[in-house]
Amino acid sequence: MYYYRRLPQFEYVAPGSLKEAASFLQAHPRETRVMAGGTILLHRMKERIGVKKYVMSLKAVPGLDAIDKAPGQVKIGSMVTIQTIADAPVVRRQCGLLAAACQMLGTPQIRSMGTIGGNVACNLATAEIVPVLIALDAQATLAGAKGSRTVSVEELYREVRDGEFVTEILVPVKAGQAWGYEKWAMRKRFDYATVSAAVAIAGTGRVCKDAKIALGGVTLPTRRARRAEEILKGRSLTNRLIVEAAEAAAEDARTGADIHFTAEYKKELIKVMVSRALKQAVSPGKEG
Amino acid sequence: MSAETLIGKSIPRIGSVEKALGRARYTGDIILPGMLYGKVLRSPHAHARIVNIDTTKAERIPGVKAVVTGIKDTPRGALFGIIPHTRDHLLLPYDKVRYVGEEVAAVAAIDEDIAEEAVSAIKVEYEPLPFVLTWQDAMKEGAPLVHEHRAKNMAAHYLVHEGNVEEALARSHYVWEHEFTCEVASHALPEPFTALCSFEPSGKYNFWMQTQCPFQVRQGLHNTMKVPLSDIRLHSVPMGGAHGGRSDTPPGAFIAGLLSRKAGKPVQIKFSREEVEDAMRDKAAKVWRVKIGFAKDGAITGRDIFMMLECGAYASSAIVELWVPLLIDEVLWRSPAYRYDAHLVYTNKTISSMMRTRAHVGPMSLDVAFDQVSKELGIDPIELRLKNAVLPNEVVPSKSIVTSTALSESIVMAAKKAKYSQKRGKLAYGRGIGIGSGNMQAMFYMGFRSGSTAFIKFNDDGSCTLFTGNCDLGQGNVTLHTQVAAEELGIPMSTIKVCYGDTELCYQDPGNYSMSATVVSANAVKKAAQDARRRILETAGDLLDVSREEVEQKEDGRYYVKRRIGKGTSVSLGDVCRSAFKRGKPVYGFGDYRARIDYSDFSVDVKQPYNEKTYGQKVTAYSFGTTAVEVKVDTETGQVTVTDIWAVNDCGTVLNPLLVRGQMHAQLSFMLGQGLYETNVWDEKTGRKLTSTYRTYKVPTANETPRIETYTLGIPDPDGPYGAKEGSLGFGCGLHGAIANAIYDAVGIRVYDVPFKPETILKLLKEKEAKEKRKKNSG
Ligand SMILES: Cc1cc2nc3c(=O)[nH]c(=O)nc-3n(C[C@H](O)[C@H](O)[C@H](O)COP(=O)(O)OP(=O)(O)OC[C@H]3O[C@@H](n4cnc5c(N)ncnc54)[C@H](O)[C@@H]3O)c2cc1C
Repeated sequence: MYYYRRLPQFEYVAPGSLKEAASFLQAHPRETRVMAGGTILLHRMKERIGVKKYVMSLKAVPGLDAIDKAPGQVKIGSMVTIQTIADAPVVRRQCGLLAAACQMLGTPQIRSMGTIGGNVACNLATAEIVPVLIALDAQATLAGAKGSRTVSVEELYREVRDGEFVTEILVPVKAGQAWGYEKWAMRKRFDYATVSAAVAIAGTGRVCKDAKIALGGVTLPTRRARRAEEILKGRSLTNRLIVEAAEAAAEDARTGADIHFTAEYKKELIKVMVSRALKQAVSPGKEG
Repeated sequence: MSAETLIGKSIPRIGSVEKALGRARYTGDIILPGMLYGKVLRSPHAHARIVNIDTTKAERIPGVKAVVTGIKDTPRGALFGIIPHTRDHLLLPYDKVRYVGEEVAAVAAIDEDIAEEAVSAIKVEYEPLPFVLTWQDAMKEGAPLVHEHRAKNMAAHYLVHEGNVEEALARSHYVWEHEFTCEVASHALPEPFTALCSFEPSGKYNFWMQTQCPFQVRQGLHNTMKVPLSDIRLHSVPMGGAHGGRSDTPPGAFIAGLLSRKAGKPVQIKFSREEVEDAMRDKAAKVWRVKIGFAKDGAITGRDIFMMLECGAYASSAIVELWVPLLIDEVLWRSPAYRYDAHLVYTNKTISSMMRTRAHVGPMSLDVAFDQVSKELGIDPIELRLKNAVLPNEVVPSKSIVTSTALSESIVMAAKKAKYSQKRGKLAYGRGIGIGSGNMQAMFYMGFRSGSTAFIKFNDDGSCTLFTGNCDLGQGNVTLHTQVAAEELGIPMSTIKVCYGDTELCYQDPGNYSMSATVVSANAVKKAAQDARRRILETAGDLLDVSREEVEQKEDGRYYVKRRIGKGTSVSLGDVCRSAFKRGKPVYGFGDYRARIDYSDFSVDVKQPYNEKTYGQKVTAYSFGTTAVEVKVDTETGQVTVTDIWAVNDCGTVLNPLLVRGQMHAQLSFMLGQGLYETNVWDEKTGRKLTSTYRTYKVPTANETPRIETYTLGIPDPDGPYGAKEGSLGFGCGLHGAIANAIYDAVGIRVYDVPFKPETILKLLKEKEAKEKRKKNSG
C-alpha cells in the first residue's frame, strides 16, 4: 500500500465561525480531522494514516490568523503561518527564540503553508516549534463545546480532549530573558532536526535565576531537560557549568536510533546542541 | 561563411526558459484522447515465489479496462539484459519476485483512483523465501540464491591482467594497500518516471517517455515484447533529470505497452516517489581493495584491484557497473603491471545500473594513497601525482590509447588556484585542504554501440530541421547540436530546429551514456551540416552560373561569386532551397560518424560480446580534471562542510563555456551529495528500502553548495568535434578523494568509506583523542 499517493475519500467541511467549528467537532469528535495548512495532514492521509470521514478546515474561521500584542504576552492565532511568525516584527522583538526557530523550519513553501497550530497539535516528535514554546512557557487556548480553556503547551497532549481544537498560542514576554536555539540536521535547511535545543534563561548578568531547556528530535514526552535546568538555577553560567548541564540533558534524554543515526550519537548531539544553545544565550551573536 | 565563429561562445541552453517558467511539456503533461491510467502492483517481499495471482475481483471493478500479469500477458522467456550473459530479467515476472517493489501485475482504468482500487483488489499468493541484502551474505555457503542458475549468487566476473602484478608488487620499494567502500546511491531524479504508450490497431506501439537512449530502450522492448523494431516508436520528451538513471529499458514502459495493447487505448503510467526509488535503478554498493606498489622515486610499479559489486536483483544492465570502473581507474595513473578483478553479486535489492558518478572509488583510492605515500617516500604530493599522471598517447593496461590528456596541467592549475601547497598542513585545526583527480570515458563501446547518423533537411524559406537519434537530458545536447550545425552552415541557430530521439524519424545513435553526445553525435551532426552545405553551394553555383568552388557565403548570409569586385549578384539560402526543390534535388545533408573503437568482436557469433573481450580500444576519448577543496570539520559533531571548491576541467575545446560551467556545478553538487549526505538504508527484517523519499534520502540543496570556482584548460582532442570531448563528469570524479584528504588535513583522521558520515568521523576523532591521551600519559 505504501506506493499509493492519491488521497482517500473524505468529506470536506469549512465552518465560517468558531462556534460552528466547535459544534461540528463536538458532533463528530471521532470522525473528524482538523486541517490547518494541511502540510502534515494531507501527506498522512495519502499514506493512509489516521484517515477519518471528515476533514474540517479552519481556513474560513475568522480571527485565527492574527498576531496581537497584549500586556505581558504575544497572542498568535493557530492559523498564523510559520513564515508570518518568523517575519513579524513583534515576534522578532519580543520572542526572538520563536522567530529564530520558525525561520529555520522546513522550506519556504512549508513555512508559508504550515501553521503554528498544526505544528503544536500534530503530536509528533518532529514538531520543532513545540520545544521552543515549552522553553518559552507558552500556553495554548483550546476551543470546545463548553467554550474555551487555556493549557500549557507542555501539557497539551495530555490535556486535549476529543472535540477540542487549538485556537491560539499565548507566548509570555519576559524582560531580560536570554535565549539560544540550535538545530542539527544533515542539511542546514530543508530538513527535520535530528536534535534541537531551545533554551530560555532568566536572570541578571551571568547568574541564572531560572532556566528552561527543551529538546527536539527526542522521544515524546521527555522534551524538558529538567535536571540540566536545576543544575543551572542560581548559579553563574560558566563554560564548565554549561558542559555539566549539557551532559545531564544528554544523559536523561530518552531518544532512540532512527534509520540514519544511533541513539548514542543523538545523545552526543544533544550534549553539543544544549551546550551551544546555552553559550548562545550567555553571549548572543556568537555561535558555538 | 560568416567570420564570427560560434565555437567557444556562451549560448544559453535551448529549452531552459520554458522549464524555468513551468511551460515545458513533460511526458506526464501529454494527454491523448481516451487515455487510461495505469498502476502497478508491487511485491511486498524481498524474495518470494509467486504461487498464484487472482485478478478476477479487479477486473470486475467498473472503469477497469485491462489487467495484466506476467503469466497471462507476456511472451515466455523474453528476458531483458543488455548482453546475452545478463538476460536474467523478466520485466513482469511470473516465477519469483526478487526485491521489494518489483512489478507483479498492473491495471489500466479510466482514472487513477479506480486504478489504485483495482490494484489493491488483486490477490497474490506468495511463498516467501529467505533473502540476502549484502554481497557478504550473498556469497556465504548455503545462502539463498536470487537466481537458481547462478551459484553463490555470482552474476558476472570481469578480469583484466596486464604484466605480472604479484612480481611487480614484490619488487616494489613500498606497497600501500587499503579497502574502500561506497554505499548504494540513488539518482533521486526530480521528475518521477512516466511512460505513455499508445497501441495502434496496425500493431504499432507509440511510446512517450524519459530516456537517455531511445534506440537501446527500443531494442530492450523489442527483445521482451517480441515484436519487430519497426512496430516500436519512441518519442523523446523534455526530462527532469537523468544522470544515468534513464538508461535502461524500464519495466514501467513494458507494462504500459501490455496494458495499451490489451485495452486498445493509450495508457499512462506515472510512478510515485517511492516507486521511483524502490523500483527504478540505483548505483551499486562497492568494495574496492587496492594494493599499489611504488618505486623509490614515487613511480607506481603495479596495482592490484579486487572489486565486489552488489548488483541488486538483476544483472540485466548492472553488468555495466562491472566494466566502467576499469575504464576510469586504469587511465588516470600509469601502471606497468595492473590487475582488475571484479565481481558482480546478486542481492535482493533494487537493481543497480548506470550512474554518472559510479566510478569514484577508484580515483579516490589513488588520491588517498598519494596523500599518505608522499610522507612515506618524502615526495611532495603534487610531484608524486605528476610523476604518475598519464600523458598524451600513452596506452592503458587494457590497450586503449589516450589520445589527449591534460591531467598534469589540471593538477598544477587546481593546486595553484587553491594555494594548495601554501595551505596544506597550515590551516587552523578543523580546517583542511585536499586535492583529487578524476576522468571519464567519452564514448564507450560496450559491445553494441558504435556510431551516430544525423540528417538535415531544408525548407523553402531556408530554415531547416536537424534529425539526431541523440536526445537532450537537460545538459544541452539540442543546443550543442544546433550550435554545431549553425557553425558549419553559417546560418542563425534560430533557423534550425532539432527533432531528437525519435526512433522512427531519426537514425541510430549510441545514446546518452558514457558521454557520447559530443564526440560521436555532434561529429555526425557536423558531417551532416557539411554535406548540406556542399549541396547549398552547388545549387547556389547553378543559380549564379559558376561552379560550387566559386561560391562564397558572405557575412550577410547570402551567397556570392568569389572574388567578384563590387557587390555583384547574390542569392539567399531561401532562393537556393526553393530552386533546389523545383529542380528535384532538394537541399539535405547526411552525416555518419563511427567512433574510433576496436570493433573486432562486433560479430554475431561472439557469445558474450564485450565481457569476454577485455583488450582493445574501448573508448574514443578521455576527459580529465582535478578538484581542490577546503573543508571545515565540526569536531564536536563530526559533520563535514565543504566550503570551497576549485575545479579544473580538461574537456578539450570548450564549445559553450556557459553550459560547461553549468555542468561542472551539477557534477560537483552530485558528487558532494554522495560524498557527504546521501545514504540508503534497508530494513534487515523485511528487506524494504527505508530511504525512498526525499525526506530520508538527503540530497543536498543550494544551502549546502560551497563556493565554486571553475576553470577549463581548452586543450583540443584529435577526435572530438573542434577538439571537444566530455565536459561534465570526468573532472569531478576526484572530489571524494579531495574531501577525504582535506578531512585528514583538517583533523588528522583517515576516511575510506563513502559517504563520510558525521557519526563515523566523530567516532574516529574520539579514538584519536583517546590514543593521544594515552600516549601523553605513558610518555
Ligand atoms: C517537506 C516538509 C518539510 C517539513 N519540515 C519541517 C521541519 O523542518 N520542522 C517541523 O517542525 N516540521 C516540518 N514539517 C511539518 C509541518 O509542515 C509543520 O510542522 C507545520 O507547522 C504543520 O502545520 P500545518 O498547518 O500544515 O498542519 P496540518 O497538516 O494542517 O495539521 C497537522 C495535524 O495537526 C492537527 N491540527 C492542525 N491544526 C489544528 C488545530 N488548530 N487544533 C487541533 N488540531 C490541529 C491536524 O488534524 C493534523 O493532525 C515539514 C513538512 C513537509 C511536508
